[in-house]
Amino acid sequence: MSLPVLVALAGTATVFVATYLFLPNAADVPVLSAGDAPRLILLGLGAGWSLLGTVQALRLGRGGFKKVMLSLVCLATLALAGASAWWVVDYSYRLPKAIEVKALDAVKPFSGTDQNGATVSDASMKGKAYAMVFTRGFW
Amino acid sequence: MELQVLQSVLQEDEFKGAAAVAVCGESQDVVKAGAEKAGLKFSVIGDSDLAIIDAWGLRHNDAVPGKNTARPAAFFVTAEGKVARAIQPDNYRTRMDAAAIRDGLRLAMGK
Repeated sequence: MSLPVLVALAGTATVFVATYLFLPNAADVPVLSAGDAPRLILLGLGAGWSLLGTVQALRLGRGGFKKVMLSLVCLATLALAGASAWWVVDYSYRLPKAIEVKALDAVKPFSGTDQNGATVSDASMKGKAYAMVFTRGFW
Repeated sequence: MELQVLQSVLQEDEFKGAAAVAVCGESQDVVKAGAEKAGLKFSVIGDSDLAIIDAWGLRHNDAVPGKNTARPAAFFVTAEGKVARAIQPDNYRTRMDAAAIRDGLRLAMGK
């Protein structure tokens, strides 16, 4: 296998790894886990290697079938890199529509058990100002 | 994490007397461990059946694939039980910062 083909396939593999690392249950790789930037850079590098290797292979290589297959792999790699980057940068951060709340509406009733086993409700909170925060969780 | 920012704001002298309640769609065990790890002194309700979250209309289906929970939102409530301010970001990237928490608490406290 020629060097350009190896570079192109290494790029494809890198894009797959970077995409996998964005999945919620992916293994934690400390150096790549601080925010989105490291993994987006990995996606970009993978796409770049794939494109560079494929262009060089098309220029210097032989065999029409190999070139067509490599071009298809490169196109798929670029599409995956683009889709992953779009999903991370935009779509995965979107939230459902906000609920309508007018200023000085009465707080909606609630009652639940807190981390200490105590019951907390709108009635028990009456008499003090408070922040009611809904959070996605502790992961 | 926003809840830790909220905790630190509540410890400021200006906000003595104010309180906070957090709701998340996790089990009691997860909430207890998470609240301890984050050093949260205020109440965190584990709403694993999403009863409160649904009653408030704040469910986010598949927030993480296969997991339903609450969309992030904060409501600053007066001592009389009226909502003085609501913060509902449209994107997870928009985080509630200390300044927004202080402003909300001031409004709720009538300052």
